[in-house]
Amino acid sequence: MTFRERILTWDIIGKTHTWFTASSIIIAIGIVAMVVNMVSFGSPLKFGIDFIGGTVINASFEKAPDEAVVRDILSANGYSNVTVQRAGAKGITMKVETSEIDPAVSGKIISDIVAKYGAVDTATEEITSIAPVIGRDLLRRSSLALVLSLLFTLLYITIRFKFSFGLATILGMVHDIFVALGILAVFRVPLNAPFVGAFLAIITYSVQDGVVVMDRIREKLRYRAKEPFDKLANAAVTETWMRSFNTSFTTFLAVLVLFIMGGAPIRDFSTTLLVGIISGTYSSIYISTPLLVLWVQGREKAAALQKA
Amino acid sequence: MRSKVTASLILVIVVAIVAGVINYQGLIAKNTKLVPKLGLDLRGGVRIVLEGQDTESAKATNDAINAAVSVIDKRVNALGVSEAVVVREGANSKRIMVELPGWEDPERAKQLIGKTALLEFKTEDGKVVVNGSNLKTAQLIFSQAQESLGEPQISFELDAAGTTAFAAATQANIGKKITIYLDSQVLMSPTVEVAITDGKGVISGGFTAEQASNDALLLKSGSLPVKLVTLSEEVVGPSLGSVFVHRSALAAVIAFLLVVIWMFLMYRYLGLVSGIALVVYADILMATYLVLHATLSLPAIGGAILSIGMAVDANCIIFERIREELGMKKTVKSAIGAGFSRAFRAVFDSNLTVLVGTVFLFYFGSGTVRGFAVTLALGVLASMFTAVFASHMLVDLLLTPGIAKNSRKFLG
Repeated sequence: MTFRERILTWDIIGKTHTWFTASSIIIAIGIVAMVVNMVSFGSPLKFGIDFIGGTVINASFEKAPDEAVVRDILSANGYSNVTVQRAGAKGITMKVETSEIDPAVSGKIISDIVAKYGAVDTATEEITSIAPVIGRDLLRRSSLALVLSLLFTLLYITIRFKFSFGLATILGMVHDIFVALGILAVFRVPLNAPFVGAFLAIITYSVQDGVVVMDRIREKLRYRAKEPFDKLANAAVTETWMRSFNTSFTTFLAVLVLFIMGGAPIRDFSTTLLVGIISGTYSSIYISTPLLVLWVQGREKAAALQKA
Repeated sequence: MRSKVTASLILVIVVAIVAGVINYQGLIAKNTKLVPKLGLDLRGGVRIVLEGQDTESAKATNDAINAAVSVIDKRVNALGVSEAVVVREGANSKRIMVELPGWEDPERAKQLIGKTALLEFKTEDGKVVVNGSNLKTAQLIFSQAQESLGEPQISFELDAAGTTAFAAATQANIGKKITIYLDSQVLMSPTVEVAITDGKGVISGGFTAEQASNDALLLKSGSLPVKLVTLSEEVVGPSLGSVFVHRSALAAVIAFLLVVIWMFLMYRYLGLVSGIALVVYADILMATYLVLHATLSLPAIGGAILSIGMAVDANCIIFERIREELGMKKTVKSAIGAGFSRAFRAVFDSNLTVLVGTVFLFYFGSGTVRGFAVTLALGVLASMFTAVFASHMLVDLLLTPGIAKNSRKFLG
């Protein structure tokens, strides 16, 4: 028997309990991490300055700046709560969260350091100052965008398929969001604006994957004889399993290359994507479809009871 | 059947060639109308967000903010930054976003953009006789006079109304002082000796050359009608992004090769077809970015690489379907036909679901989110064309009777 033929014999729906337990454990770990974060840091996830506001200044000078001297310069300009760290050979990083270094003063701070350590390298200089109010706006608008696109995806699937199909797909998507958020919470990865993009990609991926499985179930329903729904759904997922694996694997490969080669600026972004791809593929097969089966079987049982 | 294939082939080739020419123009010949537009995070530059604030003398009304946008626009243009962006963040927002790609001097940008630059000529009794709106030109000059040779000064010329008012004021104030203020700071306070009727003059305020040139620029572009405070600033050194651009270009090529190899291992002949389709996909997608001037930022490039993996999705759906149809003992030819037509609905629904999502992201998202939504939507549309239409045509075209007989060569 080839591998492909063997897949067709798998009883995926029959092991629903196993899949749900595995996912519950992973999600539970994430939720615990969020609670721990909430208690010890005051926020379930580590939001970066794009969302909470703050300032990060990275700059290199002719001579290597001394941390203590830079701290003095900062206090002299009215900022004593700034984290200062050496970065690279001649660089220094200054960072403050939830309150920003007034953009009107940042230039003065740089020129004070220049006075002591020589010219700043403008080619690698990096200043990010986000007012907390702007960060909150971004968070609010991004969340709104996410929720609305979820709702309209649900609406679309309901129109093209059925409400139950849409609900199952959306729940699979919620599963993926929780898995990703959980992992971000466990490793306390700082979330910044590009993460909104990574999240959208996860959602997109999850939907696309889910719809293909749902399409197969829809097709099978059309030619349904008397077979029970769970058998029918199991046939649909096993028949589409190879396709799910192959598209995920190609996407996984592409993002893996990005993860390895993209370097630090995009590593958090590509990690989130990798997690999302695995979770998205998994959920469309092992979460959404079993959920749909539970729903439909419940309906059929209720209908049978009414008849009786 | 044959003529339909020929027509499709011509369409795909024409589209691919047009896209190729656009890419050549933009990426290699560096045609200025088509060069890729890189985001601030990749190209380097300065981004500032300002917010209008109410003061006793001026409220941050809708009109005031709009006027401020056009004043800042003039100032930024005078700085000579190409592709500078000055926009109001939303119709009723009090925030103005200024983007100066490639600009490396954040301090100078901040000084020039946020400054009110209100010029006033006042008589001794405090009456304003001329203000900045009466200026026709202002520019940096170096003094030719014996006692101040080489000193940086601002020479100005007033418009007709300003000339008349200034002539009258100087006439009435001979022997008295007229003080020139910029943002309530005294620039100079000369004693009027004769009436000045030609509307021309020179301000010498003990400037450095840079100050005089900045102030002249500010005066020329007019004063801001409202107080602006800088809320956010982002400065990115140009070499940070360029490293990433090169690395991600290489990453895209490697990702592409790996995907093609995997598709060949899984689907043999059909896999090769999807490889060709993927080349056409990358070709079309890049050309669309260039034509639409889509801004390529870090997440957008990440999204594009992601889409290389996702683009073969439709191919996988179709090829798996063909395999199933073959399993039902159909001929290769009819299995291909059935595979493409039966898989189409799944491909259509999954892609359209994604498109529905991106529309909302575009409308409600901001900045990064919008860029991502655009790249994603373009990717979905391009992959529908290449993975369904172009692949089908290629499969028909390249299917020799020899391959068709040997289903192992055909599909592995």
